[in-house]
Parts: sequence; structure tokens; C-alpha cells
Amino acid sequence: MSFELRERAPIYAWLAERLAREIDGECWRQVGDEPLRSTLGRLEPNLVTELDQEFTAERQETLEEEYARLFLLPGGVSPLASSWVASTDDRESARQRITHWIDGVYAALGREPRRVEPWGKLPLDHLAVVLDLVAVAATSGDQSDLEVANLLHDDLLSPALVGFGAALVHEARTPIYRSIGALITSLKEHD
Amino acid sequence: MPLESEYLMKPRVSRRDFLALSASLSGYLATGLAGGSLLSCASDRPASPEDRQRVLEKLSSTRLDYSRARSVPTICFGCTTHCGVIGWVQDGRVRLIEGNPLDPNSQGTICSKANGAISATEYPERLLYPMRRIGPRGSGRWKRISWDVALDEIADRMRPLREAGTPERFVFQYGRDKTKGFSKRFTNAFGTPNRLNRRSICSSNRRAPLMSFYGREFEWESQDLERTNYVLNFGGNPMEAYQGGLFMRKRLMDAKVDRGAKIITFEIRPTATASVSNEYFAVNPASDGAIALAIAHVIVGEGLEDRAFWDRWSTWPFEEMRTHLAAYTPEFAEQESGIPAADIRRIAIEFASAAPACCTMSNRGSAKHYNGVQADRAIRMLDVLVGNVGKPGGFCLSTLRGWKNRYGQEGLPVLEQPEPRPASPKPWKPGTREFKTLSPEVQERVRNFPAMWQNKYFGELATPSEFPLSWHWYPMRVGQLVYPYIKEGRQKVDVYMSYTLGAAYGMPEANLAREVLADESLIPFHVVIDISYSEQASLADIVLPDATALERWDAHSTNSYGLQPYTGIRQPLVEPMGEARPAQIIWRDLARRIGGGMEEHFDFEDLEEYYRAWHKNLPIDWETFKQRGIWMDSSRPLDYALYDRPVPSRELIGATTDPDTQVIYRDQNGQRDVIGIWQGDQAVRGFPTPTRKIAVLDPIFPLAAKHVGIPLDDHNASPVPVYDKVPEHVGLDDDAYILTTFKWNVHTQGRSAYWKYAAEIVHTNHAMMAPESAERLGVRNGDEIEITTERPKGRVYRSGESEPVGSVRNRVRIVPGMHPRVIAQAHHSGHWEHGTIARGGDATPSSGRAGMAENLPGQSELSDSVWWSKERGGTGGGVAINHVYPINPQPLVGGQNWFDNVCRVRVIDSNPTRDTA
Repeated sequence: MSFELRERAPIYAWLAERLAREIDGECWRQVGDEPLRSTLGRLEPNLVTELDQEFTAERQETLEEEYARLFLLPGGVSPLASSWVASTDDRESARQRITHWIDGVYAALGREPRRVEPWGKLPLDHLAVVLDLVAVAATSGDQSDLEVANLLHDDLLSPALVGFGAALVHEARTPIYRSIGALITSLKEHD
Repeated sequence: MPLESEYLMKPRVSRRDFLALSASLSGYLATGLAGGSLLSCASDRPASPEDRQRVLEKLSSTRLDYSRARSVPTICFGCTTHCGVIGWVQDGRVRLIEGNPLDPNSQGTICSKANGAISATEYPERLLYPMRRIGPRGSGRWKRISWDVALDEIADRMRPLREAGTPERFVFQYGRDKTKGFSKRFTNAFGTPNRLNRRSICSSNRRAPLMSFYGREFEWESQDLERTNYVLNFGGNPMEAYQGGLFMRKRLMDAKVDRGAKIITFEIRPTATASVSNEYFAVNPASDGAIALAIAHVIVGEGLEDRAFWDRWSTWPFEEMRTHLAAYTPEFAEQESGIPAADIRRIAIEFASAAPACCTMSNRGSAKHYNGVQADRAIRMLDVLVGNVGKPGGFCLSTLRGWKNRYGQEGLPVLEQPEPRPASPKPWKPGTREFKTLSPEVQERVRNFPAMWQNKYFGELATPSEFPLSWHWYPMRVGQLVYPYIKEGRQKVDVYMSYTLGAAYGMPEANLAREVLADESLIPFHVVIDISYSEQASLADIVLPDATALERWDAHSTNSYGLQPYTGIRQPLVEPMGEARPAQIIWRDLARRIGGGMEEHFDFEDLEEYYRAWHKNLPIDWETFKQRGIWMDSSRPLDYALYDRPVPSRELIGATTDPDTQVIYRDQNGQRDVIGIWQGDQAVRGFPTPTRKIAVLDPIFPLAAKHVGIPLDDHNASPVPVYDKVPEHVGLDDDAYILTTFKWNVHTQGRSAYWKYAAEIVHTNHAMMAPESAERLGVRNGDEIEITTERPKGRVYRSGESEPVGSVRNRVRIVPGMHPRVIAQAHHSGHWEHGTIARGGDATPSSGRAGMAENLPGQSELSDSVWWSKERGGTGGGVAINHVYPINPQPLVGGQNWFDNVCRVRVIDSNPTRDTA
């Protein structure tokens, strides 16, 4: 498992950015870089096909609206991990429990969450945060970081992504977000 | 093929392929994305093995650990009561809310709403970022924008109004603003008088009579329930929903259990308060005034009044009062209310015999009627009649506003907003630019106003001229008329800012509010500041995320039921989630952007600095105040008989006495400052009214009536308490019902439906009716009915129009003990915004989605935990009902007559097999 996790870390990091902010020209450009492009192309070919198209102002507006509808407004596809796993603890909600975890992981890694410019803070149980933490912890080269990453991945990220990815496929109106949902579900298939 | 099948069921890359691909990415993370990682690289402290061990241990335990948890006193914002509470915070999360035993009002008790605030703060669907609409208003199409972009755009819209000298075109309206004047600091600094509220749909009808009797300083009373022996309750429901209800609950029950105090409740349904009362009478709606006057009739007839108190303090000569009461016999009251005359007579004697350790209690139940202001005046008169005012166990008054050395605040430290405070806008007197914007009819009315009103007049939204008693004492406004008035063009609006306002959902005729809010020709720019994506927010141009009560600072003061004034501080327990910001910070940053001198009033870096300056006169240091959450001088005498406190001799130097009234005043700087009244050879404070007496006879009512064209023989014009039937209740046929509404104990109007903790307890709103009504209609529990409301018939908005106001379909719930003419529905349910919890799991129109598909893998706590959703066989989130309640402002005061609505009922679905229990 640890090997797999380390190797999938770049995809997690890329996904973290997609969930943390709206897709922009930089994201579009980034996917042109190898080896990310090949990897994404094999895992979810539709995604790369979409990203090969011209990034226009009109497309940007569409994607900004889609991002808000899916991830910022009620009734979309909640990007919070706590929306996709149930709390097994009567003493606190899933959100509190997960926030507790993430807070602890940051402390364990000796780091603090940063702002996502220009948007600011993300809630600690945001899937972008979890994806990013797993990615960074898994690749720090420190064995104990890797243990934390595995713990986080197995107990939180993986269970949360199951419902999240499927719901994203179901609710997205644009091909690119639908593809991102599909990418997430395909990752689960490789657990 | 459905999309989900295509993507979920088709493995397109083998596991081996995946591993191979991933291996090729091994160097990518370090060189590429890690630098842009969401993780901070700021720390140069590699975590030690000990750190990691500690963290892993932390992860394994979720217990509230008293070695790590810290307690932070604050003030609950679950409702208007504002109890002192203590939040237990551990690892950056609020884990538990308990009562603060130092709060003399709540005495360490809390209700479910306190911990509901945690679920509000943690709500997964709350607003976290500024948003701007990108489609037509109300289309649900949004994009995220940064705070800088949002504030710049709003400031760019507002600045020209100020620079052009038309600041009144910025209209600010709040639903619940407990910033203790901070929002007013913003609107005053901007220069607009249009700082509106929704007090009229809440409590103005019950505040006005109290202020008429006792003066502006006392818009809320503090019955001495700890020592009372008898409570006459006219439609008050402190055991469930009442401003100060929690403060009263323990005291009421202690009085009843420990001392055998008797509680009599007149209501239209068996409320929680009715259930703990010794006697509950299901009265005819809007008959409270008749009952109160009949009780007065008996007290006077039996000679049980405190004649000395009345003669000393009442403005109404006793013999005139006796004559007036002659017609209000118990038999008359029985005819009006349905309560047997013998019971009225008995209760009157019991009440007066218990004096002075007895008190009245009333709230919306008696006041939110066409005749409600006069009803509450009649109720208030009972306390004066038996002389219990300001006495142990009686009807007491304790200061409730900010401490500025006003009446009843002598000796208390002055607590004020920090300087420099902006000046208030100037009144719209005849001849001013603003006055010329008014219609000829309004101009004529205002021209004829006495100077005291011309000096308080600020246009039709802030001070509607047809309702002078909505702003005579202070600006209570008539919130339910804001949208009709904007639609009629009575005020040109360029920028409208809604702060924690749920008008689009909760105002009477809410569909009209929505129509106006959606019309860009009437409201060109609409900004909403709120915690959750509300119905109001769905009709905004820009939405700004507000911090919750657990994330913010506020100053706190209210009336003390312990009769010793106290003050408290709301302080943040945790940082605001996402990019939510406290409203005060939003206004500060807007003021700085608008500029033009406005920014000078917002020269503080953080809110703690601001509130620390506010409390600089407290005799304890700031850190101690924060640690205790409450300050009071427990050595201060209880607030009994404030009226008998002597005027200090130093104040009498240079003072003048009116020879006719014996009122003592000082003229200073062109202002007449009334400071007391001579009682024999003693100069005492009296009451803070113009006469320094209790205005049981108050000429302000006929004066106001005269200026708005209400005949002086109309009961609304009466200077003394009177009773008259609600016009539309006269001659009701057998098929007519009275539709009323109420609040549940776990909710706070429409603001708490998304609080999971509260919604799990109460999430729907049946149409409640008595068994007799159900039998008459042939319905059982769960049957569906359609309720159609009619226009009122008094001197009110759209009076007498024949078109129905609206219809709503709801399910029947049979409630034994309800009045058989009444149908009652709670008004907090049936949201279509505020997200999954508020909607009871149903679809959200803003996203256009059709609900959470059942067949998706995984588990969404957000949707799956809504066990009451219709998809899971539950009731769902209830029915939106507020559009069927007509806009019905009480003449003169303007309070919404929520409980007068005549309606018709049609059975839609009746199933004889359903349970009738």
C-alpha cells in the first residue's frame, strides 16, 4: 500500500488543486506537462481530451459557475470529507472528528495550512486539504510521515472519495468536472 | 447509457498499468506540485518523533480532555434571549456549550439552542466565501469572488450615493442584529437613516404599550418571578419561545414548586407554558383585552385596588377609570372570550389578593392582533391597579439598554461605543432636500406633525408617517411594509443590504418580498450578509459569508430578572470557518473603501481592540472580564421601586418645577431634561415618561390617530385601554377558522432550520387543530387540507379586498386542548434554501439537482443523516406558510397582526383509516 500511495501522490496533489480552486489557464497549461498528462490520459482519457481544447474566457466563466454550483453552494457535491463519511463517535460529528485528525496531521508534519490565493482558507476537512496532506506526507521521505499518510488515506480519504467521486460524476454538467469525478472513482478501483 | 454507469462500472486501466504509470511520476511531486502544495512550507521545524507520537495519541482519542480543553465564556445567540454560556474548546473545535452560572439571568441554565449553535458553525453547507451572481437575479448561478473584489464592488456602488448627497438610497435592513449599534455606526457614518429591521413582525405591538406606560427606557419588563405568588399570563409562552424565556423558566418553576405560586394562562393552544400552569383557558382569539378589562372591573368593584398607588402614579383619574370599566363586566368578557364569568371573577380576586407579589405576563399572544396594543395596555393596567409595580414579587423594571447613566443606570459604569462616533442623519424636516422627495400626501401629513415628530422623521421606510407610534419612542419601523413601499416608489433604492434577514422566506406575503427583491428596477443592487445560503441570499447580487456567534465579538446587555443590572461579552471560541468574517469587519472594510471621512469611525485593527475600548470603564480588567464573561455589581440594591428613589440634591440646584404637574426639569443647551417629580416634599425620580407618572391614560394615541386620519372613536385612538373586536372576527360564519402561527422551543424563527441539532428535534409543521375542528371537517391525523386566507377588514394594508391572500396545503395534526376555531402552524419550516438539513433532504433549487441519488456508493453523512426526509419515509422539511399571511400592520404602531387571519379549509385527502389519536 505504501508504495502505491507514494506513487499516486502527484495525482492527489493535482486533484487537491482542482477541488481547492476553479480551473484556470494555469491548470489547463499544467496538464500539458509530462508525465502528468500521460497518467491522467490513461486513467481518464476524457479528461485530457477536454483539457486539449482551447481555454477561452467563455469556458472559464462556465467552469467558475460549475465550481460554485458543485462545491460552494448547498445541494451540490460537498467537497468536505465529513459529508461523505459517518461519525462513529457519539461525542462529536464527523466534521469535528475529521478536523481533529487533520489538525493533528498538520502538527505531526510540523506545518500549517496555507491560504489558497486569492480565496483564502479552506476548512480543514476539505477534501483538497486531505488529498494534499496525503500526497505530501506520502512523499516526504520520512517513514513516520508515510505512516500518517497511510492512516489518513485508509481511514478517511479513500472512504470519502467513494461517494464524492460518484456524486461528482452524477451531478456535474460540464465534461471536465464529470471527468474529474470519473478520475476519482478510477483511483478507488486501484486501492 | 446513464453517465454514472459509464464512469462507475467500466475499469479502463488495470491495476498493474496504474502502478506502472504512477512509478513514472515519482519525481514529479517534489519538483512540481509540492511547491504549490496546500500545505504551508512556512514551518522550518521538522516534527520530532515525540511530536508525532503525541499527535498519533491525539488522533486515537476524541474524548473531551479537561487537561487540554479550555473554557471560554460567551453569550449565546441562539435566540433573542442571549444567555451567558461557557464553550468548551478543544483542538480548535467547540465541543460543548454549558450554562455560565455567573449570568444572573440564566443562572447557569441553557436550552437546546445553545448547542445547536455548534451545528450551525459546523454546518457543511454554510457560506464560506463571497459570491457574485452571474446569471439573472434569483437564477442560482454564482461564481466565487475574493473579498477584495466583493468589497470594492460594493463600495463602488455605495460611494457615489454618498458623494451625490443621496445616502438615503442605501437601504440597510437586518433580521437579527446584536452588534449593539455597530451596524448603526456604519449606516450613520454613511449618512443613511434607512437602517431597517423586522421588529414589527416580532414585538413592536407589545413594546409600544410598555413604553407608553413606563417610558422609552422600558420596552421590556422584568417580573420578579423569584418572589411572585401569582402570575396572570395572557398568551406569553416563556417555557418555549419568549425573549427572556429561559430567564423566566427556572424562576417560574421555582415559584410554583417551592412556594406554591399560581400560574393562570389564557391561550389559544396548549403551549408548554399552559401545560405547567395551574389553570389554562383556551380563549377566543384576540379577546385578551376583554378579559383584562373585566378583571380590572372586578378588582375595582371589590375594592381590591391599591388606591394610594393608583392615585400617586397613574395619569388616569380613578373615578374616570371606574366609570370606564363599568361596561367591561365578567359576563361581557365571557361573551367575548368564552371564559366563564365566574372564573374571571375568581381569578381577579385571587390576583389582587396576592398583591403586591403578583404580576401579569404577556407577549405576542395578546399583542399581535388588530386590537393587541390596547389589549396589552389593559393587561399592563392590572399591575398598576393592584400596585405591584416595582415591588417584591411584582411587575418590575430593570434597565436593559447600554449603560449611559440613564434612568435606572445611576452608579453603573458608562459603557459606550468607542469614539469617534459618527453623527446621526438629520431629520427630513419641511424644506430639506429629502423632504422634497416625498409624495404630496406624505409631505402634507409631515407638515402637520408636531415638532417632536418632525424632529424624528426620516422618510417613509425608516419612519412611515402612517404609523407614527412605530417610531415615536424609538425607531421600531414597520418592516413588513418595506417591500410594498419600495414597490410603490415611496423610497428610491440604489443599494440594498440585507443582514441576517430572511424576508424572502419569513415576511408575511413573502412572495411580495421575493417579487420586489427579484426586480432590478426596484432594487438595482442587493448585498446579503449571512451565515447560510438563505432564500434572501438567493435573490442577491453579492453574498458575503458572516461569522457565527461562536466566531465573533459583541457587546451584550439586557434587562435583568435578578433585578441587578449586568453586562456580558460575546467572544469568539474559534476562528471563522473558511473566509467567513464577522459583520463588523465587513462594515469596517467597506467604510475604509468608501472613504470620504467614513473610515475615521472604523480605525481599529481587530474587534477585540474595539470591544475592549467599549468596556474601558468596567471596574475589572479586560482579561478578567473575558474570563468571567459577565460583570455585575452584586452589592447594588435590587431594582425595586426605582420611581421612589430620591433626586440627589445636587441635581435640584438650578432645576425648575412645573407648578401644575410638579415635574422637575432642567433646561440645558436648549434641551429640556426631566429629572423627577415632587411627591409631597420629596423629589423622587418617578417614571421616565413625560409626566413622570405611569401613562395609563396616554394622549399620544389620539394625537397619532388624528394625524393619520383615524377617527377618535376608533378603539386605536383611545387614550385609555379599551377593547373592541377584531373587525374580521365579527360575525364569522361556521366555516371560517382563525389561522395562527407559533415558534417551537428549539427553533429561532426561520434562522435555525439548518442547525442539525435543532432540526433533528423539530423539522416539520403540521396544521394543528382541535379534535372538534377535525370532526367538523371530517379529517384525521395526516390528512391533507388546503388553507386559504382572506384579507383583514380593519384600517390596514389592502383591507377588505376580496381576492384571497394565498393558499397552502398541509397535513393535519389533532391537538386536544386547542381552541376549536384555531388552526396553528409553526412558521420556521418549509425552507427551499439553507441547504440539505433545512430542506429536510429535499432537492435544492439553487443547484438544480434532484436530490441525492439513492444508488450512489458510499455514505454521505450530510444527506443520509436526514432521517426525516421524504425519501426515507419521513415528513420532510415541512411546508412554507408565510406567503399566506396577509401583511397586516396594526394601526399606529405597525406591529404585524399575525394571529387574526380568517381562513377557509378545504379537505384534499382524507383517509378514514388514519389514526385520530
